[in-house]
Amino acid sequence: MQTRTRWMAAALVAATVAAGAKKTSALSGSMDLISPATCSTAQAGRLHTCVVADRTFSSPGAESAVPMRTKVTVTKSGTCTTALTLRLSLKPQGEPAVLLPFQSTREIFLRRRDRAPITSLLIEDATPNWTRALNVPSSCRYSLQVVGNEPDVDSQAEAQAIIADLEQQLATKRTESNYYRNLVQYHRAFMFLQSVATNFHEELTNETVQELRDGAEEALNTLSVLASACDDAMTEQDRENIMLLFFSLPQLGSADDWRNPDGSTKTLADCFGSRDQEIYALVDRLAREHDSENGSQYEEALVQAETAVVELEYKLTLARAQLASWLAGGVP
Amino acid sequence: MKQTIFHWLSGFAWLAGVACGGPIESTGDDFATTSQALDQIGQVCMDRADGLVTCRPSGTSIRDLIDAAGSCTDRCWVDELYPAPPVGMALDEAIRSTVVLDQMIRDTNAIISYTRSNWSGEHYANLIGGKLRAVLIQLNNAQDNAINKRHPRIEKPLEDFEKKFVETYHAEIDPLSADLSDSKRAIERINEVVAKSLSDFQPLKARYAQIASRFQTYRTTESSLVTDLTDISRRASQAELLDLPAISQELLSYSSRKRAAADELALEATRLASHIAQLEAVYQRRSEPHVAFIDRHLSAIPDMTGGAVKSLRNMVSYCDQRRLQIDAQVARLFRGLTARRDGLIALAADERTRETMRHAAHLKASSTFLNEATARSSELNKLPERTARYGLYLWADKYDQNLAVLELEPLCTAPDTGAVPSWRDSGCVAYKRIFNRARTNVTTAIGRTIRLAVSQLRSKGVAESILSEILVDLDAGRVRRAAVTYDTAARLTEVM
Repeated sequence: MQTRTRWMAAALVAATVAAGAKKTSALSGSMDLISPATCSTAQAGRLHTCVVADRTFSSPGAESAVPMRTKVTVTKSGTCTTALTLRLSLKPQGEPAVLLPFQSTREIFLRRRDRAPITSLLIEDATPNWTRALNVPSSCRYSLQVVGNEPDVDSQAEAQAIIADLEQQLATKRTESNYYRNLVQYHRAFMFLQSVATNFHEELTNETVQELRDGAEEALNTLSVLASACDDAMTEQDRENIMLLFFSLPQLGSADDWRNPDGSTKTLADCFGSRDQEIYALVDRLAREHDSENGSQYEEALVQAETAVVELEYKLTLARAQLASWLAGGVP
Repeated sequence: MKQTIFHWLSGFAWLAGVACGGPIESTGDDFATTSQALDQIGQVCMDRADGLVTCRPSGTSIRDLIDAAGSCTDRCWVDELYPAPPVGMALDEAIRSTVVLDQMIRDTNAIISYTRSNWSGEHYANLIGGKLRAVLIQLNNAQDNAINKRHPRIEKPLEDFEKKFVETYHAEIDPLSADLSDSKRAIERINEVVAKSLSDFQPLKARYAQIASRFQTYRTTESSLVTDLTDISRRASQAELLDLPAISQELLSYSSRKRAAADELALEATRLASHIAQLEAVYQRRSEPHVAFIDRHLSAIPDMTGGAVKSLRNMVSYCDQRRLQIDAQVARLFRGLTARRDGLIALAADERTRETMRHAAHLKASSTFLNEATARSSELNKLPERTARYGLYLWADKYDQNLAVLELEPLCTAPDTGAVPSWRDSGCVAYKRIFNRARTNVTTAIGRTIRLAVSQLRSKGVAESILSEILVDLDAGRVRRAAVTYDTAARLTEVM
């Protein structure tokens, strides 16, 4: 009895050693499903009481520029006749589990919904009771190979299409970046010219100038009186200066030309036609809304667009590296 | 008959060794030729391995004798049990006594019966080949001597002795031979099991040696892992942005290879350990029929694979640790690569937008500075405050305002370095106009206006002394003081 316990324990140890408890390995690798390593061989010529222990395949989390897939292949050899249907559960991290009836399905591809690399794949026996009940000839072998995170590509044309798509994305992003580059400069130029125009407008409409315009006509009368009364005391130069004033003061124009009917000074916009005013108001509002102390939103958008351009250039280079074999016409 | 007895004795020659004598713990009873008491007609004795001899009167149970001799749990197989003549009687004398011979035969029977039932075959055989055998030889020799000097008085006892040994042979030696034959067959079968299992294990030795050799080689690559990753890390830390993908792929490929090597070796070791364990199970199963025999003689089934399985498990553990080490280092490198990639992307984006941003910042600063100039100009061009009653301009504040603007003139002249930031250029164009106007206001315009307004103040009744003070200040170029006096006088007209 003691000996019987001993060799049964040895058989269990065999299964445990082979299967491993909750073992973790690289995303690419192999594992025995049905073999002497996972089953008991206590009955001569038979494999039975099999245990497929949970296994987690993991990846170091490398980035990818192309859609990725993980290929799971089942290899069978020997005679494995049985009425039982055995299934594995393949569960990529963050994705729903996929059932693999490994006696009838030889290959399956796993893809994340976002097609990014799978960082972790948990493989569990979905039918452990049936696996335990399995009793097959000792020649039966099922093993599983996982090729983790390979480009989801089956031909050179597909690889080229991925590159072409990335190139198109890059071209689009470059156009967008150039658009923002121009927009940033137009925006700033508008704001600057707005400042210049405001400055000129202020020069033309400030209180002193308006007062001058208002008083110019009266001042001319006064000058006239003064010139008549003091004619004898004036030099030729004095007379020329007074004549200049007589001639040029009217050029200031009427102060009313710079006033609105309500008496307020005309703004820059008030100097435009009504339709132009609308357009100007719109552009002015856009310019101000998109501006801030720390820079304009267009500048921020430019940086984002240009960052996206650089990222896409990087992505394209990475994609070319990842698909190098396919692009060269070979098969990885 | 005599020959038969000797044959029986010689059958155990391979077990032999003549028992050594030792101190005898006598019962102290004297021998008597009559049969009143058993201790007077014989003894049963036990020689312990440490030399202590214990004897008890014939008829004492062998169990009691062994107990009296002390525990011999671990050493019984080297202890000796044998019959002895009564105390003080020589063997030659003993064989002449029918009573003594009968008793010695009974004692022999008791010893054989007990040990056959309670001792293992090996111990039993050892006993038969030990001192018991020596006693029997002595009896045989004594018998020879007696035969040679056959005396009518001893003829009968001798015949009885031979008869008894014939009976003993049939009653005891036949089963003993059978038991030994069984043991031999059992040993042969065990040998077959062992040989078969060794034959099963034989092909695995080569696999084990191969894996052990691979493992040995694999272990030596540990230092190269650090070297290789350090090299990749060094190159990555110096790489340009678009060189990083190649390094990233190289690292991925390198880590895959290294992890695959660890995984493959671990898988191979696991499979072999499993295979060995399965064969061990078969071996144990084959040994099962012999468990009782093995337990009795060997105490345990020999462990044929424990060392190899343990070694393989250690290899698997090492490979697992190695893979974890690779994973950790590669993950750290990927994090570093990602950080460098992000940094270089930000740098590249910054470089490509820098010129545009510089233009934008320049225009923004120009606009801001120009807007300030416009605001100052607007402020400066506002008309001075006027008195309510006569509308006389008040000049002191306006003078101060113009003077304050002139203090900003260095912003656009930078007399120390001669360099003015370019973003001030446009603002300075506007400021120059402001400065010129302010200078004219401060130096001439305000003064002249005040001088012209003096006659207005006079007409409003302002004291001549005040007007005179204003004019004196104006003549002396003290325009601000004149403006302050003028403003005071102008405000006075409000209440005059």
